[in-house]
Amino acid sequence: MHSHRWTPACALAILFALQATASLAADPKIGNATATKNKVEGVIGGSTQPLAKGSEVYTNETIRTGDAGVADLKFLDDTNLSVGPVSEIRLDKFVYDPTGTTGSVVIEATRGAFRFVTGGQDKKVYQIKTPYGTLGVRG
Amino acid sequence: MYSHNWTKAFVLAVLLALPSTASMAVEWVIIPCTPQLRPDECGLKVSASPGEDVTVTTNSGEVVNVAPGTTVSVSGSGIVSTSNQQGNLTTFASADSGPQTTGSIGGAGVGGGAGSTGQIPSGGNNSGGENRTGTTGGGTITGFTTTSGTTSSGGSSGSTSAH
Repeated sequence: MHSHRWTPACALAILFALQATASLAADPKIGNATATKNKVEGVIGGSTQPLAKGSEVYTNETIRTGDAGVADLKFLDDTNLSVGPVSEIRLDKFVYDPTGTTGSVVIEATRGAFRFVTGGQDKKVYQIKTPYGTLGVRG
Repeated sequence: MYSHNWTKAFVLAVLLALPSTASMAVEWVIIPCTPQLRPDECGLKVSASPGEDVTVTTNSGEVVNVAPGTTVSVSGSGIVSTSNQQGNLTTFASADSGPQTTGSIGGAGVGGGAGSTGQIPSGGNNSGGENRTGTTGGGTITGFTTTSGTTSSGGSSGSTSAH
């Protein structure tokens, strides 16, 4: 009788675990950190990892830098994003369409200083959201 | 003679084509609004490479073009202003460069009045009622105080750029 009660609970727990794993795996790699300095970390799926040169970055990942932290990121479309100290940015969406205009790159910056050089996609696909407005590139 | 003319024409054509294929650079700085800051001391500043076409759409739906050589600021209260950009908006050294000697977001350099210092560390000096350029590669981003619809940018020079 007791075993019957535990069986659904175990099944439910396994399902939750599988779902969590699947959601992590569902965030595709969109680029790498080409260089980092001092404290730089990536947060994805509630897990925080230090970022170093060569670290992969993923959709839905949040990048944070410390007081003297700096990170240079390069995305699959050759977009370069430099993140200055005391900064935070989330890589919301990355759809790479090198030949057409269906690509989409959306990043959400919440604080700090940034430099951004568009990559090989149509410039109109790039969108940078901030708490005070949205930056767009018209060409 | 003809070949020289064609060479010149070809070089000119290549030079004209370059800007349209070159990647563009956008710089922006966000100073989050906190209870310790006035709305005009926080917000967003944006600049773009010359010749590039960047827009800022504010939360109220206003669309502002970021003209080359200018900085567009959106204060915490949503006031949009434009000022001339001197030097780079951001001054932090690239991560793959040598030892980092510069700060990131400058102190406040607020135009007019007594001036006040922003919360994000390092950067330009600030003294009462006067904009001053940053020293030793530090000064860069400034406060967001607006005066008669224009934003004064404080310390801005003496910086290094990664690009």
